[in-house]
Amino acid sequence: MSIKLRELIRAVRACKTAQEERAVIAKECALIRTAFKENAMLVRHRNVAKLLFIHMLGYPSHFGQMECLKLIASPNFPEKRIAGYLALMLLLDERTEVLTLVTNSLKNDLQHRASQYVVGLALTSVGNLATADMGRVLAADVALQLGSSNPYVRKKAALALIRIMKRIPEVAEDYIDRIIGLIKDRSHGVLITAVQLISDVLVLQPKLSKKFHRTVPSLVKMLRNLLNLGYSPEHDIAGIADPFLQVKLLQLLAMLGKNDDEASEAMNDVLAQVATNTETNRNAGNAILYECVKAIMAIQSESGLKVLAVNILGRFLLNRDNNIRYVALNSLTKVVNEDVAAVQRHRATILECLKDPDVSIRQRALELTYQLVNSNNVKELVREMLNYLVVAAPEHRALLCGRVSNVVERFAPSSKWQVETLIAMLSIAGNHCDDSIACMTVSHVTESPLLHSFATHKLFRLLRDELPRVQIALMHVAVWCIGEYGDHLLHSCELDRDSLDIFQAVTVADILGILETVLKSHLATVLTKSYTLTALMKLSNRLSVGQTEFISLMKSQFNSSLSLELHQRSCEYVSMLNPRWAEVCDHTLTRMPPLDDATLGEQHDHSASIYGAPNAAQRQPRKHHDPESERSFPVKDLLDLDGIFDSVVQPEKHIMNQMATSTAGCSKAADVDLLTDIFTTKTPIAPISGDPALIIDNAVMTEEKTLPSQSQRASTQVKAFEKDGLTIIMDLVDDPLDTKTSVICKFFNYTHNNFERFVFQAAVPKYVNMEMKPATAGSVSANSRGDVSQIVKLKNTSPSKPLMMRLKIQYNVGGRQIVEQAQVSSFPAGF
Amino acid sequence: MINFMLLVSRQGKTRLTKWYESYSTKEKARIVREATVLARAPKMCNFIEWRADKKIVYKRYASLFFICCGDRRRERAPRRRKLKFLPAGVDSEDNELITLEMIHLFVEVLDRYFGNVCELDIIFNFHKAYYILDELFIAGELEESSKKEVLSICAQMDEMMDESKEEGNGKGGRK
Repeated sequence: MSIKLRELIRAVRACKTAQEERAVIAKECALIRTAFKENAMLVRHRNVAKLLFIHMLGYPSHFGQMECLKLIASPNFPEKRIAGYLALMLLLDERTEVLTLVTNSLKNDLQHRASQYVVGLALTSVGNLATADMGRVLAADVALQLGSSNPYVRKKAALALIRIMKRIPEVAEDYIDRIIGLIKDRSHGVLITAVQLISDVLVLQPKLSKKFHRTVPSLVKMLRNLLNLGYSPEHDIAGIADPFLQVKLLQLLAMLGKNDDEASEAMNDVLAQVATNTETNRNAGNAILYECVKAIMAIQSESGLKVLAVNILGRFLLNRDNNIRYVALNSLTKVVNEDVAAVQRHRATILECLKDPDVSIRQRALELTYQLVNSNNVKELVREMLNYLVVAAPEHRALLCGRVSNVVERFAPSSKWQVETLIAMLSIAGNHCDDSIACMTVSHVTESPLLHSFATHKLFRLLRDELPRVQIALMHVAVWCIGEYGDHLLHSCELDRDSLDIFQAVTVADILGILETVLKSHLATVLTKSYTLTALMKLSNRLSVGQTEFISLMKSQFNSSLSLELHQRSCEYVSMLNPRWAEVCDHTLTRMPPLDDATLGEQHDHSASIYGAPNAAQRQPRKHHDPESERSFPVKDLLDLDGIFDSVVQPEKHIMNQMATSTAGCSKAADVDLLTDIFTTKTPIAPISGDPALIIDNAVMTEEKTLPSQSQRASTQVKAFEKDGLTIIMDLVDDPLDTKTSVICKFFNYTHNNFERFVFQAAVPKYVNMEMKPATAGSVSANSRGDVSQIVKLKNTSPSKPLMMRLKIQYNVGGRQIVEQAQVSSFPAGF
Repeated sequence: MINFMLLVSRQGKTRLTKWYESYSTKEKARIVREATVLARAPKMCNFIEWRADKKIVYKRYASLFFICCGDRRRERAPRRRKLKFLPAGVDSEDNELITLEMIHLFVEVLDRYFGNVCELDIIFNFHKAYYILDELFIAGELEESSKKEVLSICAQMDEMMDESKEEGNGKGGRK
């Protein structure tokens, strides 16, 4: 025999462990299932009730869904009420598929004549659950009940209609007159729901708002009647006549009066009456006042009324109750755009709220403070914002940093103050700001030469004092500045023109010590380490001392690092320190030109487009170390040149990139322009090998490698490649018919082995169109002399730029795969 | 509108949940976890800004927290809109203070109905608490401001329940 609901609840509550509870529930569930299966009529609503309890505890209850659908159709009221409708609303929701099955029962119940309560249950369910499909079927029945003789049914119908309208907004148009009729009702319940219904129609279908304008006088009259009404115990709360209805009315009036002079005119008086006559010592009164202020601000109200509203908010702000203060801050945020002066008057109080222990209040106050900042008060307000940053929860810090940097950007009185503030912010919350803020700080420092020394000294000291628990972004900025302006650290720097305080000079050993600490810090990421390496590299150039320390530091990194990035970087740098490349070094490590934000953004895009947007931030340190562009390139090419190092250390990847570029014909500009840069700018610097990109290549790759790019030049023949017995000769033939140049690549095999699976690939800069024909054979047999060839058609669309090509040759010899790469730039002029 | 209403005990046990927006079971569990207000000091305000465009209004009565979730004006571009049709510029913000008053109304009705209500009443008669809630709110909107009206309706419906039980010869009597 099944137990009663009460007994089940008691049994569950008596359980001492979760396991016991599960056992009780499992047993009961099994019993309920059996009862459902056996169709035990007598206890089925009790079983569903028990199931509801089980559902509330979080156990699965889906097997009861069908049972509750059955019980809705039951003629027995208790079954219908508890096991049918209550279960329907608890067990099912809008997304449950079986819900459509209930539509018909709902329709029957909506038309129920005998009992208002049955209709009420059906309307409640429609209001809480209806889907768009159900809405379409039931809208007419629900709307019919708006005209019911019973207020109980009318109010429920109004709310059910809101639900249907939210699912299918166009329904509203059909019932406008019936909806408007509701505001003549006498029952407060119906009035509240009707006003709410109209508000929702206005939100969902703004174009219908014209039709509701004629209701303004009756709404105003209703509100006035409420105010003048004597005591009515049924609806009063703390001596205030039905605050719920008043608030709803004010909300609706605000919507109707928005951008409508006539309607606003009609409601001015009553709003003034509400604003002056409402008691404020209870929450209900404040709720009304708050809504009234919102209404005054929303409509085209008289200026006197607006002043009154702002004063009410000012009074709210001084209230001791935190709820009221929150509300005041919240609404002042909306007023601030219209009347800054009025809000400025309360600035002290608002700043006080920033220190409140309650996070809701602090957030609101912060929002408001942010809006209040102008060039006169920026110093004071930013100081307060930074103070708040110290106590702000980590999840709010990022937003706050963004806000601070935004106002600093807009209103900073001097660039020194700006840099100081940004540094201060980074030192508080550097872990939470995004990279753009660090970049911004760096770019502001670069922009003003007067600040170089000051900022570097300051950052150096911060870094020294705060290690090892320094904020990561601060660390990056500091390391970058120390690298870039490290020479300034050797001289002392005045803090201020007037003050006697100075930053004392720092020794080289100190600087190196700091950087070494950074490298060893547990906070240091790969990014930090590459910043540091680059900084060291720059310092080697800036400080005129022996380079041994630098090299040893870098080598330590080089020896221990598992990161490919760092490994390669340190290799490159160590090779560059070789006196042979002193000249290149000097050029490479000149000071950075000032960067503006636009450029930074562009570079981000660039690097993103080149590397398939992996991690733009990762690439940032690089752009700092190639200032040679200063000489002959606009700043935007910085990254392109930067790419050279990539192309050298990761030739494979790079070539592949280019392959993709040229074959797919897509426009990876930066990638291919690279070639131009290599050939046009660098040749004069290091004419030794003709290809400076290979300088470092050579130095890095210890294996002996003959320089492949010593191409021989013939009138129409170019020897493009010669190595290990493989020679490629290119015959250039101008095709008069289609202005293209045919390049016939002939492959010579001077060895005694066959070159199997021979693949020849070529890449060209973007301004050259290329078309590759298949090779005449897939392998080059031993001692063949140009038997195998492949035709490449080229067209140089920009004759001013030289024609050039990168080659990749791949073949198998004796089961061993060989991959070779080369560049061909010595095409005769005119092609 | 009210998106959902939760009754949570001071120990963090959920006593009653009512959802006016549809959420998946998983989401519901997450919301119940997230919307917890137990850590707030008594003097703090009763509102918490929650997610991008919601706010939680709560109030503690003895050992029970009553938690409502209302709409808040979006400050930044909305990431996902619950109301697809909400046109820009319409400020559909709930009045927090009146939401508090609605919670209070619910509590008062419960109190009169059960006669000095306590947490146990709600545990053992959860279905009745739901009936009362359904007489006060539909579709997340207030339905009736008169306590007397709600109480008389509930009384009448309870009477109907008893009558039909007696008719049915005490079948499945639950008390």
